[in-house]
Amino acid sequence: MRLTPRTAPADTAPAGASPAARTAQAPAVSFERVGKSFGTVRALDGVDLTVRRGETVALLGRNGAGKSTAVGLLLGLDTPDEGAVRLFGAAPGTAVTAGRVGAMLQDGRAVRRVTVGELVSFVAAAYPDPLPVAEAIELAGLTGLEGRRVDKLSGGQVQRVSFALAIAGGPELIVLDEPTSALDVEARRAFWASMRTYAARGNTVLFSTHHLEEADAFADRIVVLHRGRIVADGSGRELKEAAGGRLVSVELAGPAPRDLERLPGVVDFELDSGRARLRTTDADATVVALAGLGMVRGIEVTGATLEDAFLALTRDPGAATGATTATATATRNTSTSTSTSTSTSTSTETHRARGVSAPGHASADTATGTDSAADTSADDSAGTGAGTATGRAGRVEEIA
Amino acid sequence: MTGATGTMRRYVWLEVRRTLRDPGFVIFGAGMPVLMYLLFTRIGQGGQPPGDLAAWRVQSMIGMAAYGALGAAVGTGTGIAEDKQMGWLRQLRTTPVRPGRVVLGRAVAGSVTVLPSLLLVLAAGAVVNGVRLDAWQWPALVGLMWLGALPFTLFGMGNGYRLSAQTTGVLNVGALVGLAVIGGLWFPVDLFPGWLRSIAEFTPANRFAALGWSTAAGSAPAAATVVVLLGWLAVCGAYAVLSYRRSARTA
Repeated sequence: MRLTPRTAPADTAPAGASPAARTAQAPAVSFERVGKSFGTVRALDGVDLTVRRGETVALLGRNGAGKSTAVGLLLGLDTPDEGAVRLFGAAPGTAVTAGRVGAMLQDGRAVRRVTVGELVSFVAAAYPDPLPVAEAIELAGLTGLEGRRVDKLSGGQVQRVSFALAIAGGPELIVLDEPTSALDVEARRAFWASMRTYAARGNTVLFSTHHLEEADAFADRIVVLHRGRIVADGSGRELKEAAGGRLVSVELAGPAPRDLERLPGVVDFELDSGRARLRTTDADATVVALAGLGMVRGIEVTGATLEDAFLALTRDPGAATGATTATATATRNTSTSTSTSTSTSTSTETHRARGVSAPGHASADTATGTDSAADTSADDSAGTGAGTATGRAGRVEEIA
Repeated sequence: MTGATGTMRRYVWLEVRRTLRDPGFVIFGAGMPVLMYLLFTRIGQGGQPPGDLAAWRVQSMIGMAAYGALGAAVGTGTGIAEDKQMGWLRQLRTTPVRPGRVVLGRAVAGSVTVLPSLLLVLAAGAVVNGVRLDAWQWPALVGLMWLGALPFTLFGMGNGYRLSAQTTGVLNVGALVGLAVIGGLWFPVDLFPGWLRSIAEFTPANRFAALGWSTAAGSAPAAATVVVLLGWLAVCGAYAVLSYRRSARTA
């Protein structure tokens, strides 16, 4: 019973991340079905990721999405419970010892009682082919501060020291965990300019962030992590397109009508300060339907932003919660049957046309499985859970 | 190989410089021992016969040198706990410096910083209190006491890798003062009741100072002293290794 909700999305999630073709040259970074738990928390769950050499990749996710865990595994600071992490085709520790990796860790605070110059020189000298110290210091925007003690610097300056340490050794791969958290707007701009300069030399950059604009502006590719899984992988433009085209927003005259998501084309909606914002795959049909309801005041149709895409990708849909509950109920009722939800779903598929391609793939799959499980126990007092699941499946069909 | 050795040397030097700038080191490793030595040997000693005073000045010199060395040694661990908290140990693990070399480098750096503590008190003895020993005795004192401080460095490191910076600081200072008192570094164990005295002679700080006292008396350390110290070395070494492994797993 516990297996059902867990395996279904696990099978679907990595399918979105196309496994990149293996080149003769090993990729800078590769995660193969990597899992990591801390106690009962599943920090990473079946992550597949390949970063080619020279790419600049953003690891985007909310706090707690698994970004820092991924970075820790990447640097060999931690070991995965399942799967394998490789850097340049070798174990992370090997690549780190060989001086191919530089890192800027999250919350790296000031190293005490050491000057900027001493610290950067020491780290640079530990690498086989470092940048000239003055160059690393200049790239990090620390010129003139070489003689200052790191623990006497401001938070933003300390963060620049961390960046200097990441690049000092001239590594082929730099890993930056939330690199701009302590920087003001101007310092951020300067930081990203430096990062680009370093990337432009053919180096690979992987940075984690929860700032959408930063991911969109500075990465070739955005990998969205949510609850330890990769839920999207592509350029900012691709993500926006995948999120479902357009956004229709309209003023609400009174209380919002129920079932706004049942309108044609609408995949999602939210209510915000007197406006309804509907994400739609068919803006024309949605607008016509809204007009039919007399809702045309202040109507606006815009392209979806990356923020919309991100919110859609990382939302924990109410549908999924309901479906999980339903699965539990239904599975309990069919405890005599040995069939898993996957096999039942196949058997019922024949006499039920179902919108498999419906958006929100993971939750749709769960709902499908749930519904069919409920079907087998229809004569039972399956009760509310099963009933809800059936209703939802109906909705999915309608929208698709 | 040269590269790795060079990195190690640079790492030791970096950590030594950082320690010498540490107010904690300056106070517990250098200032206090010298100050206490001068106070204990120059104030309120007027009524003593000259021979007793000279003997006390030698005994206390070695006791306080041991106390300073102990402070510097356990202080290494306080620095480690702080570096762990500030993320420096984690940052080091992302550089090509191998983790084992970082630990070894830290132990070496800790041992190096023991030297100034020893030398300062011995210098105060020679210069201010006019302590006179044979030419061979001075280097023997420094060498033996330098080696003898190793168990304390390892004890401090064990605490540093295992505990938070605050806990390590409190524990290390507590251990320092406790070991110094029970070990007779501040007051001679002859003043202790008999039962306490026999306990004191098995404590690491007492045996550590005994290395120096026997040297000053012109004799080699007793076998029992060496055995007790080697025992403490083994215990503290195991403790440091276990703590380090635990911190590497959870860091």
